[in-house]
Amino acid sequence: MPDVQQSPPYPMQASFASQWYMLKEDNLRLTSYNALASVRLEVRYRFVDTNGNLIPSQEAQVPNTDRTAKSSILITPEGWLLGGEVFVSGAAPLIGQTYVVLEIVRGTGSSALPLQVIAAGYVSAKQPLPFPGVQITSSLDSGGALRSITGATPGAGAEISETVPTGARWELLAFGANLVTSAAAANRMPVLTLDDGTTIYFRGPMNINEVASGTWSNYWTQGLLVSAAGPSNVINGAVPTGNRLGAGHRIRTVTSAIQAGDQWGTVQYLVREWLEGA
Amino acid sequence: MVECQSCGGRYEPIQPDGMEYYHRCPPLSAAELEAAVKDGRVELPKDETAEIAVQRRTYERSNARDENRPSTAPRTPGEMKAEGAGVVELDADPLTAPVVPVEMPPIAKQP
Repeated sequence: MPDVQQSPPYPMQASFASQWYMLKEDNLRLTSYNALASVRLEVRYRFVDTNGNLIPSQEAQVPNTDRTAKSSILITPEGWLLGGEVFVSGAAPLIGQTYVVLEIVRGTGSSALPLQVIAAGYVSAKQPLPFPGVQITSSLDSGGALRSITGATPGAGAEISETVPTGARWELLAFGANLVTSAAAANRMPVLTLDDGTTIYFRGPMNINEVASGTWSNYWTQGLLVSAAGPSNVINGAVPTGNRLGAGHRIRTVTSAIQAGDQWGTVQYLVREWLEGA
Repeated sequence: MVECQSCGGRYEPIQPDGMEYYHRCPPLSAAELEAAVKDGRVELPKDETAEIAVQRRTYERSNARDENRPSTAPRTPGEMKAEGAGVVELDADPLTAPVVPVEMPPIAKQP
């Protein structure tokens, strides 16, 4: 790293305001990964410049809403970084929805050379991220954001397929959908499958015949061992306990004896979501 | 509400919790595969029914739509994995609405 070797010497005669001394060409870089609309991040921090002046600063960033990275360079003076915080000033993200990384970089723009991560973690409406000197946390640490998602209603005779979005990791807690069977005589038997985007690695059958001309409420949840039928055509089945689905993995139905006039609908499922680079 | 012109799936691009929804077309069901076999659009292995075939492998649509982002790296806004045949806007579907408001009379007049 020739740039680092050619840096001017550390001001050994000066009083040290903090251990975070930064040259004129050093800056802060804020990178965010966010899944919620209308989030606005604020960064406030204090510096002591080489003349001993205390300089407060404030910068803002509006993150992308599709879990892709967004980076902003915060231009800083030469001197000592005392500390600061990243907090949310718009919307109300949950832990699991807005993850930020703050680094010291040399230079500006996309070619800035990263030197040190000084903070990384989730921010929420109630939890700012202080820096420096806090423990760096992975985006997979935490309980995740609890989300109830309304899935797509497939065309008649088609199956349900829900995909874990790019940049997300899910734990599937519960999955519900209604199958309205046509008058065509056949015993339908839905199976909930999990796949890696191509190949199935789990099948959760209902083991109950869903006959013609009915509305069948199918619910798969963690913690059940076998499928069971209840009143009003309610049927319960199981998904693996503690499952984890990576980006691109799919939750699908594969229904034995499905007819062209059958209609899946009212697709609703509960997941824990974490952000994960991909 | 939009309708995918590749698979006929209907969905809201923005969820009630404010998060974006990314649709990917499902593979063919046994009923759809059977129709495709009858039309000569695909051939099954000898002595295999559509019912068995969908258990053994997935049959994807040639024009499948996948709205997911190619990666989490900085990108072109709105870039998706596959456009497919696109979507059309629909009016809100009362059959799929989870909550339907009902006009109520004053409490004294309620049954």
